[in-house]
Amino acid sequence: MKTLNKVLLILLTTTSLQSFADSGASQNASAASKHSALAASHGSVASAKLGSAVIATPLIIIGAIGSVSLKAGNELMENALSTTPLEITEKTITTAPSPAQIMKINQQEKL
Amino acid sequence: MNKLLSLLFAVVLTVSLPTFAGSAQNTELQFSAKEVDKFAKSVELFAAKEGARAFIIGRVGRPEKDLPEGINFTHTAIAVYSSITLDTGEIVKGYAIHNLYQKEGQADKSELVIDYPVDFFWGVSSLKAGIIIPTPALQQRIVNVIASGKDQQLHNENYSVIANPFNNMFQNCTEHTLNILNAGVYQTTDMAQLKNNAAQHFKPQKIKANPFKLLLGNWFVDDVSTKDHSGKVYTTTFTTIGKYLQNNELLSKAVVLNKEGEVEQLL
Repeated sequence: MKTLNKVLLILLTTTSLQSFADSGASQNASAASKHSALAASHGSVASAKLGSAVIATPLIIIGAIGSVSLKAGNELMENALSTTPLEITEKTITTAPSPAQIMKINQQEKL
Repeated sequence: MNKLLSLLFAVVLTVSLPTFAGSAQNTELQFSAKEVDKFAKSVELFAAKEGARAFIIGRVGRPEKDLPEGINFTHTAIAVYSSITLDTGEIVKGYAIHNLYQKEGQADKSELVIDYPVDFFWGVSSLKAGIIIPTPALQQRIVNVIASGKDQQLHNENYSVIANPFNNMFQNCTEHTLNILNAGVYQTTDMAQLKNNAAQHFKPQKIKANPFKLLLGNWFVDDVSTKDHSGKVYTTTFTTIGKYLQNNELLSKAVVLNKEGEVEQLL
């Protein structure tokens, strides 16, 4: 019986730990393969449809508020912001892989 | 042997802790790359059609059946309409997502990371997005906080998945998001003031978890701490942020978008 208990406990511990590990640490392998998976999904037009971002700059509204009062300016801004659909690139943008990820991709390719 | 059995039992209990949230940056792909890509773009297009310069975005990174009561999203961040320079030199427009992610291999620490919709949704368990669009005036203030780099001043790298939003001992992704919102609202990065204001006006989510499990989690799990709580455990969630904005007339829209393109009201 004691042996059975031990086996059960070890089994429980092992399976539970596995499930916990799944929720936690980042996994480099998946990050490294993201770019190649996306490229594969886009097929022969991948280079035209994918982009690696170098930097993103938030677009701040610079309306023609000029010398109008702050309150009126805010109202103008609200109208401009809330009714204007924004342009979005058709490309799929991803973060550029880190040096560590690039090295892992290179290593995998060599293997 | 009894001691060993006790220890093993404790470990079993600990690792069976309810999953609250968690902000891992890189996770395994659960859907095809094409599906995630298509869904991520649909989220962008939805927000762009609404004219959102900044919105709060949530994802479901764990099976929904495993989530504790009151928690519908496992990671929250802020998407900002941006000019994005690509490695080819081309400049495009889209959403950049400003995240607080747990550090790889160091779950009790976090870092601020910018990624993009397809990165954000890469490892999700459900192709479902939470989208909270603040009023245009608040959007502008959020953009200003982030564009000026003040979000860095609002970051505390000490991570707990159940961080108390009313003090700055630990921080998780949703509390960081709340800090940015309130920094915009109150036009300050003074953490004491932000926490005081949150305590007066923000209603967090009560965590319904076995106190014994929480205690064990406190001892054994790096990214779970109850040290910043006294008594019951409350934390910030995607939905409580939506309610906070709604209660303060700062909300334009709060919805859940799924892969079929169906839109449900969040609140």
